[in-house]
Amino acid sequence: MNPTLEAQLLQQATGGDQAALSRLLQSHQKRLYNVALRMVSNRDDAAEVTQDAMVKIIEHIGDFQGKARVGTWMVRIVMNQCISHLRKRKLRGTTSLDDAPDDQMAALRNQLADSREPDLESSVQTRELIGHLHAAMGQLEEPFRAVLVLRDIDEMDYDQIGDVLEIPVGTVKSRLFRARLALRQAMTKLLPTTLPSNEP
Amino acid sequence: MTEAYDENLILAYVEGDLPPAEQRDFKLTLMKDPKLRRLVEQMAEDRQALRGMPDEDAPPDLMEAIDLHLERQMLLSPSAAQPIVSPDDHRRFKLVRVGSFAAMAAMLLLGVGLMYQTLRDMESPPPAGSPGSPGFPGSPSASRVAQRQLAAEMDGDAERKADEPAGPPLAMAPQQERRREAPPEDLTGKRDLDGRMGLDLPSAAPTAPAPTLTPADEPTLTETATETEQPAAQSMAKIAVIEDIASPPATIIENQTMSQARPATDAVAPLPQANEASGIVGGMGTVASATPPGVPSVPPGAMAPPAPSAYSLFGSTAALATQPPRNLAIIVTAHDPTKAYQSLLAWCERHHASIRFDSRRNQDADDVAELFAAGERKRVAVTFDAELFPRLLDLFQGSPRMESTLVREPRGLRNRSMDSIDFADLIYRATVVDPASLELPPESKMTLQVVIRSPWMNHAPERFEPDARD
Repeated sequence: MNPTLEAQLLQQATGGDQAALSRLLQSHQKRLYNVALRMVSNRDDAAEVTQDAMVKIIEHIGDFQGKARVGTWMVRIVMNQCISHLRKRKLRGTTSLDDAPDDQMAALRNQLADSREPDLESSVQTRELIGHLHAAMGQLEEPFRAVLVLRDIDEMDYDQIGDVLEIPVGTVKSRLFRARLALRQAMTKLLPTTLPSNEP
Repeated sequence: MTEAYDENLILAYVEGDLPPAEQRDFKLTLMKDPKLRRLVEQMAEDRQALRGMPDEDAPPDLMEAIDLHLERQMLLSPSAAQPIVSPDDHRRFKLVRVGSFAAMAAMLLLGVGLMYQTLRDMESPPPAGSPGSPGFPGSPSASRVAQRQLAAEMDGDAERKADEPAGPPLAMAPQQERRREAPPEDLTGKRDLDGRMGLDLPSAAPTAPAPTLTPADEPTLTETATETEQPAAQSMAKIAVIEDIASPPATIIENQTMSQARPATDAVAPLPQANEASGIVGGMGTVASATPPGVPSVPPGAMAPPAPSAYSLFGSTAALATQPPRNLAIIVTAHDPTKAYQSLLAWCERHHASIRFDSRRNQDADDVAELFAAGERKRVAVTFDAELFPRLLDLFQGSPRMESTLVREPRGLRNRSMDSIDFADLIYRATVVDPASLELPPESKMTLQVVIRSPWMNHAPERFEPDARD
């Protein structure tokens, strides 16, 4: 969204204009939903989390002080909601990524393959890679998953990630490195034969 | 393996943040260390793959639900309709507050000054018999003396009267003399209220007698399904959770009737048509009442349309036709709606739940007694921790006065928050709802719309026979 228009909508929204707030949320909904989707790895859960986060945004838009960009602020709320959701899910002991329905994974793989892969062989490879990447992401601890989602899916810089996760930039870098390492280890476990391991 | 290496350097290389010179150096390092090279390459591949994952479109109903929430917030909460306070407003309020304090301080100073002036006037000896002199009737010192003497008289301490220190003789105050002969009424009254005189007083606020109905006198209810399940002798109230808070009584009846013959997901007739078709007249709770059909009353502060032509919450059927999945509606049909409402209020207080009566918070139950007596049904929105939902169900269905509980999720909405409950297929009855079976997510709020009404509202005028009660 045009930053000027966004600032204008934000001003109207904080002034109580519900229509402006609705437009603002509309413009960010895809981004927020995708952050939630990569975090919780389930479409229904992602929709629920996004909806809950949006309700919180509506309730607290008056508290937004403009220290960060409004998008970053919204992502922070979504991220907090995701982490809360994941913890609850962990407590309930339900739904790990390994148990994710095949159709959801397949849809993602197909979509990716159709849009990115020119030939069959690489398409299959990519599907496999994405599938395992998805599963490996699900095995990561929440802080690692969060930093990877923000960095690679939402393409935030270190400062923005620090704002969202409320940690210093140094911690962001350290956590990102460890997250990449953990992801690689998870991938190696999932693909011991098809992908080369770290051992020479 | 990586402990021996510089994390920041590896990360910067993978992220492409290294300056060209350092990048060249690091590549040389990688050439010498195949193990590290493999790892770095794989991390870069993972990064690339993650970044290449395509974004998905958000579900189309996501924004619909949010827009509905915005509309509902605007409709239900007058405060939400007011502009959100901005920092500028804060500053302005601060100024106003400072101004108010200054005005109060000025008033206080003025008052002190006047008091000081009055005291000074009193200190200067006025002419005898003039206003302000101690013996003048009504002067402060005379009043004090009179009170002391009255107290002494009541305690039977005659000597104390004689030893009364300063002050002019009582003969100088004829009015006081009269007061001595007959104790003032206000003081007597005080003693009465304090109970020192041992008088039995009637209760301060006589409560309106609750309508007592014998089972035989109960009007025939149209919800035959619930009647067949519970003996009429126990039936005092009914609870039904319906699709929409905006549904009228007629819809509720139809809803329950339909639930016997058809699946729970059957459509509910549009509200106004159903009401007209069934000829249901609300407000039949009082025999002498000529209350018009039970259109919900709209409080002055509510965001209401000018005339609620249909049965809808503040006239906004469209906005409330579908609720977010957590928002369920319960219809409580109670022979004593005030008591049901008081129970709900007490429950909310006990569980720190917020309750909103129409647009006003924490409505006193006494205030609505008259409205209930007039046969109007009342709505409240209760917001509480979702995990308390079984307890709230207990509140209503745990009472022997309750006939049945009917719970239904708003039709056409996915149940996202309560995965473990498929509300679309659930019809809970009072005898079968097991609160333990409700696995609700902890720490999440849910809002329940509760409609409390009188059972008489279900009856067409010709079926209501007040004479049979006499």
